[in-house]
Amino acid sequence: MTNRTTDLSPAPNAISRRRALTQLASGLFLCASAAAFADDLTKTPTQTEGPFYPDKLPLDTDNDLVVINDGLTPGVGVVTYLSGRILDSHGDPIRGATVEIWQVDGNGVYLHTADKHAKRDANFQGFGRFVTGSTGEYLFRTVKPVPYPGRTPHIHYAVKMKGREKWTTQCYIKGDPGNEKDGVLKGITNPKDRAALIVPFIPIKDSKVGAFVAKFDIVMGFTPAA
Amino acid sequence: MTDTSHSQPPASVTISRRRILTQAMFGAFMCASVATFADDLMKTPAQTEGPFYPDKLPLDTDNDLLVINDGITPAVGSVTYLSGRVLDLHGSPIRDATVEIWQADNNGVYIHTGSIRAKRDANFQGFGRFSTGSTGEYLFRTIKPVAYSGRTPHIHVAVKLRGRQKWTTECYIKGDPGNDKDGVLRSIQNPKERAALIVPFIPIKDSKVGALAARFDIVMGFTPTE
Ligand SMILES: [Fe+3]
Repeated sequence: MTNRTTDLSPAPNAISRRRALTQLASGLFLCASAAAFADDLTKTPTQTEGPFYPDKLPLDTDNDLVVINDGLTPGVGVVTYLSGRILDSHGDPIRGATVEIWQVDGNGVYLHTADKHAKRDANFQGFGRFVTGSTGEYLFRTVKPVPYPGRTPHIHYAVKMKGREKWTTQCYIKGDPGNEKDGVLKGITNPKDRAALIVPFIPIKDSKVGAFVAKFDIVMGFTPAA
Repeated sequence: MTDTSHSQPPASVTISRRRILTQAMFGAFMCASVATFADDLMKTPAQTEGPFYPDKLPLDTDNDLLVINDGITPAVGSVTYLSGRVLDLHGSPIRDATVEIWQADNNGVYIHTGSIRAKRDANFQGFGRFSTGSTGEYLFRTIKPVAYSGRTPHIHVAVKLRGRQKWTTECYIKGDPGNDKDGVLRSIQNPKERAALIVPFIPIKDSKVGALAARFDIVMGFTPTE
């Protein structure tokens, strides 16, 4: 288990809150970044679903987008473990939330019949789904997103909860030069809100395949009725 | 620790001797607990895959067996969060392990064309898949398994690792009266090994739907060569 502490630098009360939240997570998955609950819990900004939510779901919808069912050839790209937690506005984990991600393959192509600007990687799942347990954590294995015409690299998210409208956003790579020119990202005018969608993609030290880890916490703008 | 009963030797000597003894005892305790821990890392017994691994995978293969894609009607049964870790013989988590579960629905029917003893619950996914991250943790939302003709309630588990044969076992409910009469479970002669497959299904305190939680750690009989 890797407990990264490089991002723990701000005010002491922020640290203790982070520590408490980290303990809540009880070591599930990676604790890479806690950007979403710095100071106060910034509600994660919503972003458009966009035109490329799969119009036909893949035959495999699990949390590993790199391999489809028992396929022998993995999808092309830089393997990335993408994890985080679904939290309510108080920072409490939300159980039973359905988290979906979809993104382009290594050629910049979505799993969507309308996206044919390049050849799609038939080995990339393009979409995955995860239901959270009591820690609110989710985990996907996917590839690091690449840019495609007109957009900086990003991963689409949907969060679905019983009795609520589907909620969508997008997650971006910290330090990507395309971020500054991206119209969708720049559509968020508040810098702090914008920053809540941008997370570091960190190389995993002991990874033989050069895998990355990224942590993206999502703070929903409500607290589920108890 | 305070000592008021002895007056003969100087207090400091007593204390330092006690400290040494305490440290020795602590050391012994540590050794004992390490030894116990080592004993406890017993390889999880394998069990037959059985005849009902899905002959056709469902259209949804995620970690939520209660809902198929965006289905509105959930499966019938007692909601259960089944989680655990995939570990090697040393207790280190195994990353990139693919964990699959499959089980009968609340009517005792598998998603298998050979399983036709009753009407299948069309809303139950019957199969799910999870790819582990660095902590080796997996998580499924499913239903508490029910007995079907000839078998005590159980959940089938497969672990797939690159370059290795598929490994299968079954997980049972602690306290189920059917366990004592189950031929498959009883085929494990060693009581300790048998117990490694039987886990408590515990009600989640704050659950409005009366959900249960079960933890089933899996110790593989090897240590991956890194
Ligand atoms: Fe997009």
